[in-house]
Amino acid sequence: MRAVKSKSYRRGRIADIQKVSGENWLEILSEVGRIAALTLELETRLNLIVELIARQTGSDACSILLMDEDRENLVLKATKGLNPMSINKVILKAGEGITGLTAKEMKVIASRNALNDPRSVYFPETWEERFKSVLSVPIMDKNDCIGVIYTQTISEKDYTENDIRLLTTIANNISWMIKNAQLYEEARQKIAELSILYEISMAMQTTINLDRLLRIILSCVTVGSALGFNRASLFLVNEKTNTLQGMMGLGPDSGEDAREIWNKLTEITNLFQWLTSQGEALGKKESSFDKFIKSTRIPITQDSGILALTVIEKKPFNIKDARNDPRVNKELLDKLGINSFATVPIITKNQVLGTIVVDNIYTNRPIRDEDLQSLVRFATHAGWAIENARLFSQLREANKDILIAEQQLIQSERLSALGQLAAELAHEIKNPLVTIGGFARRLSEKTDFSPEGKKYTDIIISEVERVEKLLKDILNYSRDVKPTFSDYNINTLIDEVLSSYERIFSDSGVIVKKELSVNIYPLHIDTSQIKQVFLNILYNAVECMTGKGGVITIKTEPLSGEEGVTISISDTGGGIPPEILDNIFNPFFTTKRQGTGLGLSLSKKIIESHGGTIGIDNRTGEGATFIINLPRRQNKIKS
Amino acid sequence: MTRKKILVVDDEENIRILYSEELQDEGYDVITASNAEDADIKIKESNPDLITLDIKMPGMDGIELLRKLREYDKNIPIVMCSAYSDYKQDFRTWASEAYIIKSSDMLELKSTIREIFKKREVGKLGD
Ligand SMILES: Nc1ncnc2c1ncn2[C@@H]1O[C@H](COP(=O)(O)OP(=O)(O)OP(=O)(O)O)[C@@H](O)[C@H]1O
Ligand SMILES: [Mg+2]
Repeated sequence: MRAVKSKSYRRGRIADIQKVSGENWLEILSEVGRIAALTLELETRLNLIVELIARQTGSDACSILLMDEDRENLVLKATKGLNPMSINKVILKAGEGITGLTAKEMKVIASRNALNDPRSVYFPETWEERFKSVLSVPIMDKNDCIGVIYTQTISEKDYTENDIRLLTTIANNISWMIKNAQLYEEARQKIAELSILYEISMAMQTTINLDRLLRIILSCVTVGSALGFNRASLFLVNEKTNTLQGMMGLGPDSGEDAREIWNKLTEITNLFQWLTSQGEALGKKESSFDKFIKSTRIPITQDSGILALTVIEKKPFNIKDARNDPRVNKELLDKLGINSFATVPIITKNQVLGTIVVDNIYTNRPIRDEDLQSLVRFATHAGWAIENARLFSQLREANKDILIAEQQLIQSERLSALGQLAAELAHEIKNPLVTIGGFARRLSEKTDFSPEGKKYTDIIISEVERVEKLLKDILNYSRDVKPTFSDYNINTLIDEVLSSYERIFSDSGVIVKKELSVNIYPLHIDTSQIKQVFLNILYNAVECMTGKGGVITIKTEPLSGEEGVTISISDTGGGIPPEILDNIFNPFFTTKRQGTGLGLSLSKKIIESHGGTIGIDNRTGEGATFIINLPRRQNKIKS
Repeated sequence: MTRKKILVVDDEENIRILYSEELQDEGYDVITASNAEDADIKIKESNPDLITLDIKMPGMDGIELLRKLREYDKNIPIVMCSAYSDYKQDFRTWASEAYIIKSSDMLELKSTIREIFKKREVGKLGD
């Protein structure tokens, strides 16, 4: 009964196929070519192609499996006729089943009755048990199999030479398209990631300030074309309280805002520039999202939601239906107003620092697992940066304590400035030193010296080694004095300096007067460097008044013409002799027996690197006033 | 086994001479370049198996060059050489195989290069 039915069915099909084998061949192939050339995602194009083939060849199903990156497994990428939900879910090993065997042996397999074929393996989720016959053709790229295309029919069918030729030709035709798409995707990801990392790292060179760093990190997550989530927030682990503490949330408050910001974003071509200018668009405006995140504390326990789980289990989560997910903390979810989001842990050296949470609240774009992978990679780098920033601020805290307690540190602060100069010198010396020592070593190995000759070269080698070691120490020491910028009120800084060094003034009988304007902006400065400048100038003032007594007046006022501050420091020490006035900013120029002559030259360098100027109002016989103009923001950030 | 070819990129001539001679003694073929552009040409023309890169060079510096190279070749081992360790923390250098502080004692450089080639050899056998 059944056989008869399938026979008559087959007869009808044969007529179709004969039609296909004629002029339709060309039509099918040109249509495949047209689809392949469309600028659509690969999967979309593959799905259009299988639909076309199924329709035009009278097959009940047509599907494409592609090899994954490791060339081990085949993944279902497109289908017409099988359960579409199984796309990307069906994964089989090369060699497994008829299609797997096609890939492994790189040859065409036709099976009239696959149900009884010992080679076949069924995947129930595809609903393919209704199909009897299968024709499976490898998709080849040179000598590699990159995928399999196969058609299936519900009734039994004998495949003809023609069927096989048509499908093979199609397979050959789509191979280049698959290969190109994969290469393109690989390249796109690599370049996007590289350039985003590069730009973040450039931006980070200019800051070790934690707050600013976090903003940079979140900006990259939301602004970068590589990651590009709508909103991102960052939580750090507070070990003392065992909670996750919201640090910052970045993203527009409403769809309106979002549109406005994204319009502006298209104008940003250089992420680095945007990051260092702190981003007018997202950076400045205080959003209620940010406020909400900052007020959020989550206990790190198994039952307090996905964010805590991310930290506990040290793995990312991609939550697609949050409302129905028992692990999700519903209270937080309501406040965020979303139903899908993803989290990644920030891990360094196996320790979890916190988590980054992202969502696409405005575009509703689903978060793909690939997106999450990029975010995971990104979080590794972010973790490293956060760790560094934290270490640095701890170091600075510690330094501050010592500074207040120990007057002696004046000397070491001055030394650190010296160290900076030494570092520059050391760089220059290192290369010739390497060649001197290197060639001395070669000499000593290659030449048959007299005992004396040997002795002399060995001395050169060991002396060079000694200097190299010395250089290494200097360089290691001065590495800690890289500039780090933060927003700081200059009046506060002046108060700090004056109170720390109070004793110096009282010991030398000098009175200090402050005239600090309350109307000034915070400045974007490296506080330890600017402090250094004040110290140098104050020190000079004290030195020229020692024994005689006198008054130092330190004054701040808004900079005229632009945003910024003018700081003037006056003394009553008789002023600078006119004949040396031109020299005092030169390095190593000094009139003091124990001076190094570096104080003012370094100060000038520091002020200029902040985009400011330093000048003198000299009243011979009375005293000198050093005038420093610091703009609020330097146009160019130098490090 | 064929001889490995190493490209030494450094702006100081004497360093190039020193590195070439030391590495030749190790049994490698050595070519040199004095700047980024030169390096680019030499790489295309003679396809080295490993590159040593000086970080501080006038014009395009080693880090920039590293980034450029990685954009079109993910795999060629690159050893960053610097007079100082400042850039070790700079994660732009992480795309390199190793980071070495220049020293008149070439042992570290030589053993690092040897290690890299050894690892690559083992990796190949495993494929
Ligand atoms: N307020 C001042 N009044 C008079 N002369 C000054 C004043 N400030 C600086 N000078 C002159 O400028 C010279 C250079 O100053 P600078 O601070 O650069 O070096 P220094 O004080 O001599 O040495 P050090 O770097 O160890 O402090 C001083 O030696 C001094 O002659
Ligand atoms: Mg001085």
